[in-house]
Amino acid sequence: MLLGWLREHQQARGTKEGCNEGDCGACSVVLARKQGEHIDYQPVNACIFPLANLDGTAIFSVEDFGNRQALHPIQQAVVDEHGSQCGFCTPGFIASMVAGQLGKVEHSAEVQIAGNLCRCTGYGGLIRAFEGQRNTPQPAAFRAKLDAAESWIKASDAGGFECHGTTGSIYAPSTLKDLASLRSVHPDALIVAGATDVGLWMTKGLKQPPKLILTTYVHELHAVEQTAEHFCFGAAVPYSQVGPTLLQDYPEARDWFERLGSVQVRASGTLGGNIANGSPIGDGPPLMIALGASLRLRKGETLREVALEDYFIAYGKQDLAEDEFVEAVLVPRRQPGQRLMVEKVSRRIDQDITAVLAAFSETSVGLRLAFGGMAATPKLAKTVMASRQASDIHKDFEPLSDLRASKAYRLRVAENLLRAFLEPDASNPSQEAAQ
Amino acid sequence: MNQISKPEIANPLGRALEHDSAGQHVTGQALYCDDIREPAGCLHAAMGLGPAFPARIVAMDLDAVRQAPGVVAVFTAADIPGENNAGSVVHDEPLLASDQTSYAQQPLFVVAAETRDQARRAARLAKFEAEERPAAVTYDQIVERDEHVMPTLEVVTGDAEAALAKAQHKLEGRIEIGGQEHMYLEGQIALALPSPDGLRVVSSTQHPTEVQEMLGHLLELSSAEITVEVRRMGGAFGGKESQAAHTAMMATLAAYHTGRPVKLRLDRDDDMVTTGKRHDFRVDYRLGYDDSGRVYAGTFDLAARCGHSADLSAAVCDRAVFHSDNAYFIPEHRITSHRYRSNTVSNTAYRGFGGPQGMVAIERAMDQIAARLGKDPLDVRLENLYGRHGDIAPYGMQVKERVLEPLIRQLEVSADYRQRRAEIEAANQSAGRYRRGIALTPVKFGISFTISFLNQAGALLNIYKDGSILINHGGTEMGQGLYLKVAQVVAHQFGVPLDMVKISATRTDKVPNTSPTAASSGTDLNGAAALAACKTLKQRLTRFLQQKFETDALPLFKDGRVLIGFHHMSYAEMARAAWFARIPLSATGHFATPGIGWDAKTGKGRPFFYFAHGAAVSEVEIDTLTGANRVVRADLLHDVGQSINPAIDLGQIEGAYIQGMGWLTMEQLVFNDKGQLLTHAPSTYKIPTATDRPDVLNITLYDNKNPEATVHRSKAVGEPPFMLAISVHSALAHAISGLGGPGYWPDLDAPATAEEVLRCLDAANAAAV
Repeated sequence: MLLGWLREHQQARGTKEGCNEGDCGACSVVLARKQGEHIDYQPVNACIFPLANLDGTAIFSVEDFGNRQALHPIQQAVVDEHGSQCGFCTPGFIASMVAGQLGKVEHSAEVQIAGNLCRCTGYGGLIRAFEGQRNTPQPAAFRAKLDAAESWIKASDAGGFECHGTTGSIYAPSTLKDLASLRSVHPDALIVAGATDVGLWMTKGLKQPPKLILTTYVHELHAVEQTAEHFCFGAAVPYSQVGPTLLQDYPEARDWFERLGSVQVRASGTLGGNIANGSPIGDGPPLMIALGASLRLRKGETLREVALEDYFIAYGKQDLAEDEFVEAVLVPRRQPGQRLMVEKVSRRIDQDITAVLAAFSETSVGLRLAFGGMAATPKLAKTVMASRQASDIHKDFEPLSDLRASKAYRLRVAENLLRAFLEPDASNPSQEAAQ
Repeated sequence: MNQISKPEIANPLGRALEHDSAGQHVTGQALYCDDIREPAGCLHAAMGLGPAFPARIVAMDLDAVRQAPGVVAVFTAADIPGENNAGSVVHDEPLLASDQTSYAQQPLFVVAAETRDQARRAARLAKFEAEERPAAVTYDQIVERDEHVMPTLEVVTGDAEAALAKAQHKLEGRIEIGGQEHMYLEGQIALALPSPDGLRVVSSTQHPTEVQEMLGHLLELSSAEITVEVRRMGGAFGGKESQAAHTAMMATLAAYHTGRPVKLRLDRDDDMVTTGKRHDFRVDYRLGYDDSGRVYAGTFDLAARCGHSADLSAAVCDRAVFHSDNAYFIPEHRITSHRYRSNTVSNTAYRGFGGPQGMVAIERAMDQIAARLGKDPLDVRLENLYGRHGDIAPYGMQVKERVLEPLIRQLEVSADYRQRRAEIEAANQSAGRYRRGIALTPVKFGISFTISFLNQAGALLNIYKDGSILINHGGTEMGQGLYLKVAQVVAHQFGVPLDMVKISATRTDKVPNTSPTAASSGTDLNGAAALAACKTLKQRLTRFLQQKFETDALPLFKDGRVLIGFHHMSYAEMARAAWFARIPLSATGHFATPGIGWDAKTGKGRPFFYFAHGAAVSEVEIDTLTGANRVVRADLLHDVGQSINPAIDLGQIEGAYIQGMGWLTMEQLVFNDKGQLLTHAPSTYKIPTATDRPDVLNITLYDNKNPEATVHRSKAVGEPPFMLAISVHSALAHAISGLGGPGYWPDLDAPATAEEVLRCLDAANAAAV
């Protein structure tokens, strides 16, 4: 992973390891990569960022931004605002904030740094530091490094390589054709995109998958297309790009988007990976199911389309042949008069694994009520869709009790949210439910 | 040095100066233990964890571990030359378990390998033949089994039962209060550096002396043969008071046997599974009160889940007892504290050290009394404040300072509490999905280690020929700004700019026999020790100057100069002149807090030097569909005495409040029925992020001087503001309460997760029907 390379091989020890699973942000660094004709700047968690995904990119860590003699404006602002106490998380915050400047983000400082944990301060100094400096130009010394990186990133032609090591092989095709043929030759290989989940199998599970095929460099999988009927997201499009496009039609999903992982996770993680992975608690699938999304699956030259709700068959089992892969996600455009409600229920607002994700959509065609966290797969509440009775949720789901929530709580919340959507005029749903 | 000409720079005391390491923090140059370049040949260790249940170990097969790539050696309990003990107070906790484990995943062995990755992989290859032992995990289980890690403490004043019997109204209740993971961003780590000249260990510890002693017992070495060093920690919060020793001991055991440097940095999950947390408590309380809300009598039974060993549980539970009154006078009172053994990791120190758990229960009771009487809870709180009807705490100490009432009155106005409460209650009448709540709660927190002998500190002060000053003391830096505050004190003493004073890493070979940097006491104790050393050196310098200039006048150290009689010279010239005159320019200082002492047998005494105070108004919003909740505004007013550094103090208050808010809302430790921790990483254990910070957060220092002669008349600040967050819990209950009808108050436990809040919303709705 990138963090080990920085700390052990480069002896660049400003970037810290806090959790080794992409949840604390102490290892955040700035990633510069090509996105169309532009350079996209994002913070990423170096602890779960595979080195193999770095071709054609540039990485900037805390050592690059400034030094004690000439602090970067963000660094100076964190000092001035007393934004550090123990200081261990600080380099990661600095990276997230510099990435926010470079990426010209429009969201709040809180959103930009929600993927960075600080246990000492109450975040006040850090928030003020970013808000005060978000539009400040980069200092000349760092600007020069950025300019140099930008020119070679633009000139580079990333991907199209293979690595063979003692523990396994990595295939990094750059075209859809190569990906399809590699998939046919290596049906046993694990397909990896942003590695925000697979990375944890390695850093925590200590797994060493013998064969990996990366989607990172496949040009076709990075396409975002808009037609009158659909948004079409290539499977390797990171969430950071999916969100803004989707929000054009579905502004109700802003909260869903900003609470999905963190800025770091959204920069690495992909919608395609979130779906293909088959997790019962991924935040992407329930909304996509509610919107009536479908998948385009490819096997060699053969394409087929499957409705997303039919793709999830059972826990760990998807409608995906051994040598098939997800090529794109098709999301219908908004219908006139469409109503949409997306609710994420979790212990913490940001970057938390969902207990229940509810996504409800109603159009002239009908009602779609999708849930995550309620069953072994993301699923529609078909009984409720037919009856429009929120209390019928018990007929649709038998959720588990786990460390995130009890079965009773999941059912109760699902019912309350359904009632709010199906009976929007009820003044106090909670009160009625108890009666 | 050129700053000497600026007098305002020359007196740093009381100024909002930046943290001494801030420039290093933001550039990534601040060195933490893991950032030190490993010496050649350094090995990396990993812990080998036991079965996922308390077990009798029938057989342990480590062959695969030994044969794994890169492994140099594997160590078990049998390889410990001295005592196999990691228990700091009671020797009841093996460093490495052998024939049986007391909790799930208790460490059984240590692997040393060429790389950290190799060590981690090898550690998972052990095979056990193990029999499951019964696990007591829940309160019902531990109370039924009735094993105690330390004796029960009872503190009694008056006849509580008789007074309860005659009380006009009686209240009975129970509250469960969850534990808390420290979640220091830098996990447990140590680097052991063996040499024929002695052992040196870099440890991320709040208590270097204890690490030194534990290593001595482990290896049968004397303390003089061991040096423990810590420059800074990446957060600690109590989690590196006793718990840091385990990591240091394991690394050192491997270094002892291999003769090579060994680093052990725990993976986050291993850290969370094997190190102690805040104690969780169940409190059963009874109070007798009258129509005015005045409390006459009470009984509090505090059941603490201590984990499998004693660790610091006795002192933690003592402090819970001392704070179960919080700010309120209860004339006839009985407080009982049971310290139950459970088959879970051994709970330990955590910011507040039992105090927060004690306070949560009495604050719930104040709210309940107010609800039943139809009063504003603030009025019930004011009615019962120390000083209104009495000022002797149940443990016999007089509460002298009358800070809280004026402090609360000031906050009540500045936060516009009454008006906002009225508006919120009116709005809740017609609320839809979202309801709001508001509460004002006070904090009175006792300052001093309740183990009286710990209230001492040492310092070493060197003045060099060029006038530069090096101050070293027993306190450790974990981000709280202790080094800076002490440097400010020393710079002020010599009238020099702050940059002439340097503080070096805390080391047991410079200042010996230190107490942990804990109990918020860092500046009080180490600052005072540094002052004592300053005084000694200034006396020597005064005599030297008086002789040199043949005067009886006293010198004035100011603005980088020394003035005596009609003479003056630069401070640096004086230092050099003193050296020529063969004046010793190095001194030690020592401080012992005067006048404190407490007898556990009688339950009476003066455990504290003084109290720190504060109060907070929190306003919350809850989602009645999901129970999700957040703090929308908080106003904090806190008493730090006369601040040495307002920026540092404000930072402590803000951070403590947010950490307390996390404890009482989203942070939930979940154990399964075998006592295995399921929330063992930040993926599942959620501490507040930036978006959880209240939209409006006003923090003000209360204008007050410590009546006790502390350094600069300041007050301790690390822990007390943590408990300002109890106002969040109280406000959440307030938001729910209106649904239950007149007199209703929800039995909201802590943490008030979305699930817990929704449970209480449903219960309130049911009660109203």
